[in-house]
Amino acid sequence: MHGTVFPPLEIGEVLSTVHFLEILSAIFLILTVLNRLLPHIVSASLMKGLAVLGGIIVSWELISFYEIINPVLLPPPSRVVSLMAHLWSIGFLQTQIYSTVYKITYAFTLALVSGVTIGIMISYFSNTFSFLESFLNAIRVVPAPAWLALAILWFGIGHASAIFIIWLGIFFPILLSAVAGVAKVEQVQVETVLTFGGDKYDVLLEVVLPVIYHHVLTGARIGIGIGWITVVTAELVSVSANSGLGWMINDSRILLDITTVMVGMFLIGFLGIVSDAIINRFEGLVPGWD
Amino acid sequence: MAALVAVMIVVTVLRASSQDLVGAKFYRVLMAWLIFFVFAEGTIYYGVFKSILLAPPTAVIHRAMFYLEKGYLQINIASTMFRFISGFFIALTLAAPLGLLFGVYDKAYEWIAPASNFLRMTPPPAILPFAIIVFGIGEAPAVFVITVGCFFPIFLATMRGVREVETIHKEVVQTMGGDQMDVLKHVILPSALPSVMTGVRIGFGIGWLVLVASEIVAADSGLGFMIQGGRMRLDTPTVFVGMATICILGLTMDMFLKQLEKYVTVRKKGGGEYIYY
Repeated sequence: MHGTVFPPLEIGEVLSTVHFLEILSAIFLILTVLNRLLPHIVSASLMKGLAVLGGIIVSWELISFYEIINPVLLPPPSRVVSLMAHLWSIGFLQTQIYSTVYKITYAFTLALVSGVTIGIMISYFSNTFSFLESFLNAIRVVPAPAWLALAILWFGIGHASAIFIIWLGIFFPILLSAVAGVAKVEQVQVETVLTFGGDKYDVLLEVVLPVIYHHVLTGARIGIGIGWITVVTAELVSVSANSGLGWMINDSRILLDITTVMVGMFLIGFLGIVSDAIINRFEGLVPGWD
Repeated sequence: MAALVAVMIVVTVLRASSQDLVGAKFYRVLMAWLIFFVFAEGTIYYGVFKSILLAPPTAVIHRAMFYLEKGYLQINIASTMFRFISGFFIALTLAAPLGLLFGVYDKAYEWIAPASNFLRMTPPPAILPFAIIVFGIGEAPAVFVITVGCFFPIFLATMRGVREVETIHKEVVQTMGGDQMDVLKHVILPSALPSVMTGVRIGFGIGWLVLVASEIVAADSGLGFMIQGGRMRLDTPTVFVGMATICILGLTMDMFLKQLEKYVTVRKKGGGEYIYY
């Protein structure tokens, strides 16, 4: 990861506008056929949305083609797609995606484990650990990017300081959702376990954990959104040794290479949607009590 | 240092003399903080940690007083607040009416759903470099990015609030001979308001985060810039002054919004509860 080269400026073969529009209409045609054949996968409402999205892309292409807006400031989507294919083929894009995804996955796992643990500590075992709450509240109200300066001082330039502030961003939504989940536990269920001779830890395993599962998932979805904001911020100031999509965006911005900026923007948006969908998959995996 | 230990002793004596005066929880929290401060001050004084890594609380307070005297802190607070408030209000004036529109005509939202979801999932700082090229360096890119950050929470919450309005309430107004405007004024707006407030609070949280991010990346003034400058000069007290100011400003505004939400949600049960930021 260290010592990656600058994003290359030559962008390989560029799709012409005509070709791009042809490919776009072919995709739309296939989707229309799929809509007729498999209406439960490609639904009519999805088609409506994709039609508008396609309209936006086509008009953007035409705006750049007729140079209504300076194409240096607004490169056409055909150029963005070609550059994305080129950067992928030389392996540059994979390196940056790997670096970004590595950092956010690392921080997310840490945040999930520590958030649930500390959340249970300060709410379920509140007699012992309630003093932690005021410290945590004080840390919570300082937004994660503001910790960047201290993180660099403490952990140095590198992945560690980036992971620290991403962890801070994801940790608090998960912590607060775990605390909210413990508050929602029904007293009747707790007493049932106690009546049958269970102790405090049986209650934790049998009642509290299944109940907070759903709350933690909500927190995790909010957290991953904030996590993407912080990972991009950390990479924009190139905390972590010149790697990642955010670094690629900022570096191309300095070179006034907006095409690469847009490649990065779209990839981050796409990865955000994918991560959100993955967390959504875990919904309903553990049966709750309500 | 001596003052802190004195406070600790006084509070402990007070607690020993009367349990009612100093509650158990208050005592524990206060003690935890005082011990933390004494620990921070002491470890740096005796050289356990380098003073670059963790500024002693006294140095932070001295630095804050110095900046207040020179007016440096006030200037940075003013420019941060100007950016934040303009971005926030632009987002509010755009998002609330649009949310209302797409909430009332909910068939129309199907058309823009994928485009809006894609924009929502793109983190605002990723748009920042693009905004800098388009708008140039200055206030505009920061305000734009804050607007984007605040827009979607408010937009989505407003839309959800308008959709969850009870049909029977609308029908009551129509039965009494009211027209569309009456339904909007007497049913939809009051019912959707609590939901809008929730969106405003979430949007505030995201906007505040994005504000600090954009000031650290690209600005020549503001609290984020002050933190970044402090880091570059290895001037840790300045970093802490910036963080503490951001903390106090954020807490104040969040408390204000919480009160506003309580005032708005009088007729609805709940409200004013935890929002995950």
